[in-house]
Amino acid sequence: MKNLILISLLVFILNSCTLFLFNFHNNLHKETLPVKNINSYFSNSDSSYLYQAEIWFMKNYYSGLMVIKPQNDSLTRVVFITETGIKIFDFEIRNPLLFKKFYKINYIIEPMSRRIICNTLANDIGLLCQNGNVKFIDAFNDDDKTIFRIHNRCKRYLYVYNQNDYGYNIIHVNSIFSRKAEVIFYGINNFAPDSIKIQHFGKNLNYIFRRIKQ
Amino acid sequence: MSKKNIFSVLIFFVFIDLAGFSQTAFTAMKNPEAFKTKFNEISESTISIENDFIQNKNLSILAKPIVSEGKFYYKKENKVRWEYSEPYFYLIIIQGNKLYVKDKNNQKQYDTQSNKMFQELNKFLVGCINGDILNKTGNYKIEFKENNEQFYVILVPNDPKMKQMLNEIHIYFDKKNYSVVQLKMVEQDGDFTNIEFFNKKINGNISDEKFNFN
Repeated sequence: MKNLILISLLVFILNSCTLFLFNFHNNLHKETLPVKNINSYFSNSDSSYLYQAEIWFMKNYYSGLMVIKPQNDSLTRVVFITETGIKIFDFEIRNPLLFKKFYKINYIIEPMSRRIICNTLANDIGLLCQNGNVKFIDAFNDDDKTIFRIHNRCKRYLYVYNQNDYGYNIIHVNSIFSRKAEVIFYGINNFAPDSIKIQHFGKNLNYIFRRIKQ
Repeated sequence: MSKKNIFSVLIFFVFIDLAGFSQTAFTAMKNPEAFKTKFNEISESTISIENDFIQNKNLSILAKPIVSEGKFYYKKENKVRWEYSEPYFYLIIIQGNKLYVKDKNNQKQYDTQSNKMFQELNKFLVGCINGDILNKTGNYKIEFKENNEQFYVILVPNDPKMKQMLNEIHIYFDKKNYSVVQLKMVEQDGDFTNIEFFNKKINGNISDEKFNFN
Protein backbone atom coordinates (compact mmCIF):
# COMPACT_ATOMS: atom_id res chain seq x y z
CA MET A 1 0.00 0.00 0.00
CA LYS A 2 2.84 2.33 0.98
CA ASN A 3 4.64 1.57 -2.27
CA LEU A 4 1.47 2.18 -4.25
CA ILE A 5 1.11 5.65 -2.72
CA LEU A 6 4.77 6.44 -3.43
CA ILE A 7 4.51 5.23 -7.03
CA SER A 8 1.31 7.23 -7.55
CA LEU A 9 2.97 10.32 -6.14
CA LEU A 10 6.01 9.86 -8.39
CA VAL A 11 3.82 9.35 -11.47
CA PHE A 12 1.85 12.47 -10.57
CA ILE A 13 5.03 14.58 -10.13
CA LEU A 14 6.60 13.32 -13.36
CA ASN A 15 3.34 13.84 -15.19
CA SER A 16 3.01 17.40 -13.88
CA CYS A 17 6.58 18.11 -14.82
CA THR A 18 6.14 16.67 -18.31
CA LEU A 19 3.00 18.71 -18.75
CA PHE A 20 4.81 21.87 -17.74
CA LEU A 21 7.88 21.30 -19.89
CA PHE A 22 6.01 20.44 -23.03
CA ASN A 23 2.84 22.49 -22.81
CA PHE A 24 4.97 25.60 -22.85
CA HIS A 25 5.94 25.10 -26.48
CA ASN A 26 3.96 22.12 -27.74
CA ASN A 27 2.41 24.04 -30.60
CA LEU A 28 5.79 25.19 -31.97
CA HIS A 29 7.89 23.47 -34.65
CA LYS A 30 10.82 21.51 -33.30
CA GLU A 31 14.22 21.96 -34.92
CA THR A 32 17.66 20.49 -34.44
CA LEU A 33 20.38 23.10 -34.26
CA PRO A 34 24.17 22.95 -34.03
CA VAL A 35 26.22 24.40 -31.17
CA LYS A 36 25.80 28.17 -31.13
CA ASN A 37 26.91 31.16 -29.08
CA ILE A 38 24.42 32.69 -26.72
CA ASN A 39 25.86 36.09 -25.99
CA SER A 40 24.88 38.16 -23.02
CA TYR A 41 23.65 41.71 -23.62
CA PHE A 42 26.70 42.76 -21.63
CA SER A 43 29.45 41.47 -23.87
CA ASN A 44 31.04 44.61 -25.34
CA SER A 45 34.26 45.11 -23.38
CA ASP A 46 34.50 48.72 -24.63
CA SER A 47 31.30 49.57 -22.74
CA SER A 48 30.21 49.62 -19.14
CA TYR A 49 26.62 49.33 -17.99
CA LEU A 50 25.11 51.11 -15.00
CA TYR A 51 21.81 50.04 -13.41
CA GLN A 52 19.78 51.13 -10.44
CA ALA A 53 19.29 47.85 -8.60
CA GLU A 54 16.59 46.78 -6.19
CA ILE A 55 16.80 43.43 -4.42
CA TRP A 56 14.10 41.88 -2.25
CA PHE A 57 15.45 39.01 -0.17
CA MET A 58 13.14 37.47 2.45
CA LYS A 59 11.82 40.53 4.32
CA ASN A 60 14.81 42.68 3.41
CA TYR A 61 15.07 45.30 0.71
CA TYR A 62 18.40 46.45 -0.69
CA SER A 63 18.96 49.14 -3.26
CA GLY A 64 21.98 50.62 -4.95
CA LEU A 65 23.89 50.85 -8.18
CA MET A 66 25.06 47.86 -10.17
CA VAL A 67 27.96 48.23 -12.56
CA ILE A 68 28.47 45.56 -15.22
CA LYS A 69 31.84 45.71 -16.96
CA PRO A 70 32.78 43.01 -19.48
CA GLN A 71 36.55 42.47 -19.35
CA ASN A 72 36.75 40.05 -22.29
CA ASP A 73 34.64 37.34 -23.94
CA SER A 74 34.77 35.03 -20.95
CA LEU A 75 34.93 37.34 -17.96
CA THR A 76 32.59 40.06 -16.66
CA ARG A 77 32.98 42.11 -13.46
CA VAL A 78 29.81 43.00 -11.58
CA VAL A 79 30.02 45.50 -8.71
CA PHE A 80 27.10 46.43 -6.47
CA ILE A 81 27.37 49.59 -4.35
CA THR A 82 24.91 51.41 -2.13
CA GLU A 83 23.83 54.93 -3.05
CA THR A 84 26.27 56.26 -0.43
CA GLY A 85 29.13 54.48 -2.18
CA ILE A 86 29.62 51.54 0.20
CA LYS A 87 30.60 48.47 -1.82
CA ILE A 88 28.37 45.45 -1.17
CA PHE A 89 29.94 42.94 -3.54
CA ASP A 90 32.36 42.65 -6.43
CA PHE A 91 32.05 39.44 -8.47
CA GLU A 92 33.84 38.08 -11.51
CA ILE A 93 31.45 36.04 -13.64
CA ARG A 94 33.24 33.58 -15.91
CA ASN A 95 32.30 31.33 -18.77
CA PRO A 96 31.33 28.02 -17.11
CA LEU A 97 32.65 26.08 -20.07
CA LEU A 98 36.16 27.50 -19.62
CA PHE A 99 36.42 27.73 -15.83
CA LYS A 100 35.72 25.04 -13.26
CA LYS A 101 34.17 27.61 -10.93
CA PHE A 102 32.00 30.05 -12.83
CA TYR A 103 32.47 32.95 -10.41
CA LYS A 104 35.09 34.52 -8.20
CA ILE A 105 34.37 36.83 -5.30
CA ASN A 106 36.71 39.81 -5.19
CA TYR A 107 34.77 41.29 -2.27
CA ILE A 108 31.53 40.80 -0.39
CA ILE A 109 30.46 42.72 2.68
CA GLU A 110 30.76 40.59 5.80
CA PRO A 111 27.08 39.96 6.70
CA MET A 112 26.44 38.64 3.17
CA SER A 113 29.55 36.48 2.89
CA ARG A 114 27.76 33.18 3.58
CA ARG A 115 28.33 30.60 0.88
CA ILE A 116 24.65 30.02 0.14
CA ILE A 117 24.07 33.77 -0.42
CA CYS A 118 27.18 34.08 -2.61
CA ASN A 119 26.11 31.10 -4.73
CA THR A 120 22.58 32.43 -5.18
CA LEU A 121 23.77 35.92 -6.12
CA ALA A 122 26.38 34.56 -8.53
CA ASN A 123 23.84 32.21 -10.16
CA ASP A 124 21.37 35.04 -10.71
CA ILE A 125 23.91 37.57 -11.94
CA GLY A 126 25.50 34.84 -14.05
CA LEU A 127 22.19 34.55 -15.91
CA LEU A 128 22.67 38.12 -17.10
CA CYS A 129 26.36 38.07 -17.89
CA GLN A 130 27.54 34.70 -19.05
CA ASN A 131 28.61 34.29 -22.62
CA GLY A 132 29.52 31.09 -24.26
CA ASN A 133 28.85 28.52 -26.83
CA VAL A 134 26.16 26.17 -25.72
CA LYS A 135 24.83 22.90 -26.98
CA PHE A 136 21.11 23.13 -27.52
CA ILE A 137 18.98 20.24 -26.48
CA ASP A 138 16.50 21.43 -29.03
CA ALA A 139 14.83 24.51 -30.45
CA PHE A 140 11.28 25.45 -31.29
CA ASN A 141 9.83 28.24 -33.34
CA ASP A 142 6.72 29.74 -34.82
CA ASP A 143 5.96 33.05 -36.52
CA ASP A 144 6.32 35.05 -33.31
CA LYS A 145 9.16 33.50 -31.36
CA THR A 146 12.03 31.06 -31.23
CA ILE A 147 12.90 29.11 -28.10
CA PHE A 148 16.28 27.51 -27.47
CA ARG A 149 16.47 24.91 -24.76
CA ILE A 150 19.83 24.18 -23.15
CA HIS A 151 20.98 22.05 -20.25
CA ASN A 152 23.57 23.17 -17.75
CA ARG A 153 24.36 22.05 -14.20
CA CYS A 154 21.15 20.09 -13.57
CA LYS A 155 19.01 22.94 -14.83
CA ARG A 156 17.25 23.59 -18.11
CA TYR A 157 17.21 27.04 -19.58
CA LEU A 158 14.72 28.23 -22.15
CA TYR A 159 15.86 31.31 -24.07
CA VAL A 160 12.85 32.95 -25.72
CA TYR A 161 13.56 35.19 -28.72
CA ASN A 162 10.79 37.39 -30.06
CA GLN A 163 11.25 37.88 -33.78
CA ASN A 164 11.30 41.67 -33.53
CA ASP A 165 13.84 41.98 -30.73
CA TYR A 166 17.63 42.27 -30.86
CA GLY A 167 18.04 39.19 -28.67
CA TYR A 168 16.24 36.97 -26.20
CA ASN A 169 13.69 38.72 -24.01
CA ILE A 170 12.93 35.97 -21.49
CA ILE A 171 15.01 33.24 -19.85
CA HIS A 172 13.07 30.50 -18.06
CA VAL A 173 15.08 28.46 -15.57
CA ASN A 174 13.66 25.05 -14.69
CA SER A 175 14.87 22.13 -12.65
CA ILE A 176 13.75 18.64 -13.58
CA PHE A 177 10.58 19.03 -11.56
CA SER A 178 9.70 22.68 -11.33
CA ARG A 179 10.06 26.26 -12.49
CA LYS A 180 12.91 27.90 -10.66
CA ALA A 181 13.21 31.42 -11.99
CA GLU A 182 12.37 33.77 -14.82
CA VAL A 183 14.40 36.65 -16.22
CA ILE A 184 12.53 39.23 -18.27
CA PHE A 185 14.32 41.88 -20.32
CA TYR A 186 12.43 45.07 -21.16
CA GLY A 187 13.23 47.83 -23.65
CA ILE A 188 15.73 45.76 -25.60
CA ASN A 189 17.85 47.84 -27.95
CA ASN A 190 21.24 47.55 -29.58
CA PHE A 191 23.09 48.68 -26.43
CA ALA A 192 21.48 47.03 -23.39
CA PRO A 193 18.02 46.34 -21.98
CA ASP A 194 16.36 49.32 -20.29
CA SER A 195 15.26 47.17 -17.39
CA ILE A 196 15.53 43.59 -16.19
CA LYS A 197 13.42 41.65 -13.74
CA ILE A 198 14.54 38.39 -12.10
CA GLN A 199 11.82 36.52 -10.31
CA HIS A 200 12.29 33.31 -8.31
CA PHE A 201 9.53 30.77 -7.80
CA GLY A 202 9.47 29.10 -4.39
CA LYS A 203 12.21 31.39 -3.07
CA ASN A 204 11.59 34.83 -1.66
CA LEU A 205 14.15 36.57 -3.85
CA ASN A 206 13.47 39.06 -6.63
CA TYR A 207 15.47 41.71 -8.44
CA ILE A 208 14.70 44.74 -10.60
CA PHE A 209 17.42 46.57 -12.53
CA ARG A 210 16.78 49.89 -14.30
CA ARG A 211 19.41 51.23 -16.63
CA ILE A 212 20.86 54.64 -15.88
CA LYS A 213 21.66 56.39 -19.13
CA GLN A 214 25.07 58.02 -18.67
CA MET B 1 59.03 90.34 -26.12
CA SER B 2 61.51 92.38 -24.09
CA LYS B 3 63.70 90.83 -21.39
CA LYS B 4 61.67 92.74 -18.79
CA ASN B 5 58.39 91.24 -20.07
CA ILE B 6 59.83 87.72 -20.16
CA PHE B 7 61.02 88.18 -16.57
CA SER B 8 57.54 89.41 -15.52
CA VAL B 9 55.87 86.42 -17.14
CA LEU B 10 58.33 84.04 -15.43
CA ILE B 11 57.73 85.67 -12.05
CA PHE B 12 53.96 85.40 -12.63
CA PHE B 13 54.16 81.63 -13.32
CA VAL B 14 56.46 81.07 -10.34
CA PHE B 15 53.88 82.79 -8.10
CA ILE B 16 51.03 80.78 -9.66
CA ASP B 17 53.00 77.59 -9.00
CA LEU B 18 53.81 78.60 -5.45
CA ALA B 19 50.18 79.50 -4.79
CA GLY B 20 49.04 76.15 -6.18
CA PHE B 21 51.68 74.31 -4.20
CA SER B 22 50.79 76.06 -0.96
CA GLN B 23 47.12 75.05 -1.41
CA THR B 24 47.75 71.39 -1.96
CA ALA B 25 50.88 70.40 -0.03
CA PHE B 26 50.01 69.05 3.39
CA THR B 27 52.55 68.75 6.18
CA ALA B 28 52.27 67.20 9.64
CA MET B 29 49.94 69.22 11.87
CA LYS B 30 51.87 71.37 14.31
CA ASN B 31 49.48 70.95 17.19
CA PRO B 32 46.94 68.13 16.77
CA GLU B 33 45.72 68.43 20.38
CA ALA B 34 44.85 72.11 19.88
CA PHE B 35 43.01 71.16 16.66
CA LYS B 36 41.00 68.46 18.47
CA THR B 37 40.16 70.76 21.37
CA LYS B 38 39.03 73.58 19.07
CA PHE B 39 37.16 71.11 16.86
CA ASN B 40 35.29 69.66 19.85
CA GLU B 41 34.40 73.17 21.03
CA ILE B 42 33.02 74.09 17.62
CA SER B 43 31.17 70.75 17.34
CA GLU B 44 29.53 71.48 20.70
CA SER B 45 28.22 74.80 19.41
CA THR B 46 27.16 73.41 16.00
CA ILE B 47 23.43 72.81 16.06
CA SER B 48 22.88 72.23 12.36
CA ILE B 49 24.71 71.86 9.05
CA GLU B 50 23.17 72.14 5.62
CA ASN B 51 25.09 71.79 2.37
CA ASP B 52 25.14 70.47 -1.17
CA PHE B 53 27.38 67.59 -2.08
CA ILE B 54 28.89 65.86 -5.08
CA GLN B 55 29.85 62.24 -4.65
CA ASN B 56 32.26 60.48 -7.00
CA LYS B 57 32.54 56.71 -6.87
CA ASN B 58 35.79 55.64 -8.48
CA LEU B 59 36.00 51.99 -9.50
CA SER B 60 39.14 50.60 -11.15
CA ILE B 61 36.98 48.91 -13.80
CA LEU B 62 35.48 52.22 -14.94
CA ALA B 63 37.24 54.96 -16.90
CA LYS B 64 35.02 57.65 -15.33
CA PRO B 65 33.60 57.90 -11.81
CA ILE B 66 29.90 57.45 -11.05
CA VAL B 67 28.72 60.91 -10.06
CA SER B 68 25.89 61.48 -7.59
CA GLU B 69 24.62 64.81 -6.29
CA GLY B 70 22.32 66.01 -3.59
CA LYS B 71 21.77 67.87 -0.35
CA PHE B 72 22.95 66.95 3.12
CA TYR B 73 21.35 68.05 6.41
CA TYR B 74 22.55 67.43 9.96
CA LYS B 75 20.79 68.52 13.14
CA LYS B 76 21.69 67.81 16.71
CA GLU B 77 21.40 65.17 18.12
CA ASN B 78 22.00 62.49 15.48
CA LYS B 79 19.55 63.64 12.84
CA VAL B 80 20.87 63.20 9.32
CA ARG B 81 19.23 63.57 5.91
CA TRP B 82 21.03 62.56 2.68
CA GLU B 83 18.87 63.61 -0.25
CA TYR B 84 20.24 62.40 -3.60
CA SER B 85 18.85 64.07 -6.69
CA GLU B 86 21.28 62.55 -9.24
CA PRO B 87 21.53 60.03 -10.86
CA TYR B 88 18.08 59.42 -9.34
CA PHE B 89 16.05 60.49 -6.33
CA TYR B 90 17.06 58.65 -3.18
CA LEU B 91 16.53 59.68 0.41
CA ILE B 92 18.17 58.47 3.61
CA ILE B 93 17.02 59.81 6.97
CA ILE B 94 18.76 58.79 10.16
CA GLN B 95 17.23 59.73 13.46
CA GLY B 96 18.87 58.15 16.50
CA ASN B 97 18.71 54.40 15.93
CA LYS B 98 16.13 54.61 13.17
CA LEU B 99 17.04 54.64 9.51
CA TYR B 100 14.58 55.41 6.74
CA VAL B 101 15.21 55.02 3.01
CA LYS B 102 12.97 56.10 0.19
CA ASP B 103 13.28 56.09 -3.58
CA LYS B 104 10.82 56.62 -6.40
CA ASN B 105 9.29 53.17 -5.95
CA ASN B 106 9.82 52.09 -2.35
CA GLN B 107 10.24 53.22 1.19
CA LYS B 108 11.54 51.27 4.14
CA GLN B 109 12.33 51.88 7.78
CA TYR B 110 15.05 50.04 9.70
CA ASP B 111 16.03 49.86 13.31
CA THR B 112 19.80 50.14 13.12
CA GLN B 113 20.11 48.37 16.48
CA SER B 114 18.70 45.20 14.93
CA ASN B 115 21.18 45.40 12.09
CA LYS B 116 24.80 45.69 13.19
CA MET B 117 25.99 46.67 9.71
CA PHE B 118 23.58 49.63 9.52
CA GLN B 119 24.44 50.61 13.09
CA GLU B 120 28.16 50.73 12.30
CA LEU B 121 27.66 52.56 9.00
CA ASN B 122 25.33 55.04 10.70
CA LYS B 123 27.81 55.74 13.51
CA PHE B 124 30.64 56.00 11.04
CA LEU B 125 28.93 58.47 8.66
CA VAL B 126 27.56 60.67 11.44
CA GLY B 127 30.95 60.50 13.20
CA CYS B 128 32.72 61.69 10.06
CA ILE B 129 30.41 64.69 9.76
CA ASN B 130 30.21 65.79 13.39
CA GLY B 131 33.81 64.83 14.09
CA ASP B 132 33.08 62.23 16.79
CA ILE B 133 35.25 59.87 14.83
CA LEU B 134 38.33 61.89 15.87
CA ASN B 135 37.70 60.94 19.50
CA LYS B 136 37.67 57.21 18.70
CA THR B 137 41.39 56.89 19.10
CA GLY B 138 41.07 53.20 20.03
CA ASN B 139 39.24 52.37 16.78
CA TYR B 140 41.53 54.19 14.36
CA LYS B 141 45.17 55.06 13.86
CA ILE B 142 44.93 58.80 13.18
CA GLU B 143 47.36 61.01 11.29
CA PHE B 144 46.94 64.81 11.39
CA LYS B 145 48.08 67.13 8.58
CA GLU B 146 47.43 70.70 7.48
CA ASN B 147 48.12 73.32 4.85
CA ASN B 148 47.20 77.01 4.65
CA GLU B 149 43.52 76.42 4.10
CA GLN B 150 42.62 73.00 5.43
CA PHE B 151 43.17 70.50 8.18
CA TYR B 152 43.51 66.96 6.85
CA VAL B 153 43.01 63.83 8.94
CA ILE B 154 43.75 60.29 7.78
CA LEU B 155 42.12 57.46 9.74
CA VAL B 156 43.16 53.83 9.39
CA PRO B 157 40.71 51.41 11.07
CA ASN B 158 42.12 49.02 13.67
CA ASP B 159 39.14 46.66 13.53
CA PRO B 160 39.80 43.94 10.90
CA LYS B 161 36.11 43.86 9.87
CA MET B 162 36.03 47.61 9.34
CA LYS B 163 39.40 47.44 7.59
CA GLN B 164 38.00 44.84 5.21
CA MET B 165 35.41 47.43 4.16
CA LEU B 166 37.50 50.60 4.30
CA ASN B 167 41.27 50.76 4.25
CA GLU B 168 41.57 54.49 4.92
CA ILE B 169 39.27 57.44 5.57
CA HIS B 170 40.47 60.91 4.60
CA ILE B 171 38.64 63.92 6.05
CA TYR B 172 39.39 67.51 5.05
CA PHE B 173 38.26 70.40 7.27
CA ASP B 174 37.98 74.08 6.41
CA LYS B 175 40.39 76.01 8.66
CA LYS B 176 37.98 78.95 8.87
CA ASN B 177 35.09 77.13 10.51
CA TYR B 178 36.40 73.57 11.12
CA SER B 179 33.60 72.08 8.99
CA VAL B 180 34.10 69.00 6.82
CA VAL B 181 34.66 69.99 3.17
CA GLN B 182 35.67 66.63 1.75
CA LEU B 183 35.39 62.99 2.78
CA LYS B 184 37.26 60.25 0.96
CA MET B 185 36.72 56.59 1.78
CA VAL B 186 39.37 54.28 0.30
CA GLU B 187 38.69 50.55 0.03
CA GLN B 188 41.17 47.69 0.23
CA ASP B 189 41.49 47.36 -3.54
CA GLY B 190 42.06 51.10 -4.07
CA ASP B 191 38.51 51.91 -5.23
CA PHE B 192 37.26 54.99 -3.42
CA THR B 193 34.30 57.28 -2.77
CA ASN B 194 34.97 61.00 -2.66
CA ILE B 195 32.29 63.34 -1.29
CA GLU B 196 32.77 67.11 -1.58
CA PHE B 197 30.55 69.42 0.46
CA PHE B 198 29.84 73.00 -0.59
CA ASN B 199 27.31 75.87 -0.17
CA LYS B 200 27.57 75.25 3.54
CA LYS B 201 25.17 76.82 6.07
CA ILE B 202 26.09 76.28 9.70
CA ASN B 203 23.51 76.73 12.46
CA GLY B 204 20.80 77.72 10.00
CA ASN B 205 17.20 76.95 10.79
CA ILE B 206 16.44 73.41 9.55
CA SER B 207 12.87 72.32 10.15
CA ASP B 208 12.35 69.06 12.09
CA GLU B 209 10.05 68.00 9.26
CA LYS B 210 13.16 67.37 7.15
CA PHE B 211 13.84 64.36 9.40
CA ASN B 212 10.30 62.97 9.50
CA PHE B 213 9.69 59.51 8.09
CA ASN B 214 6.87 60.09 5.66
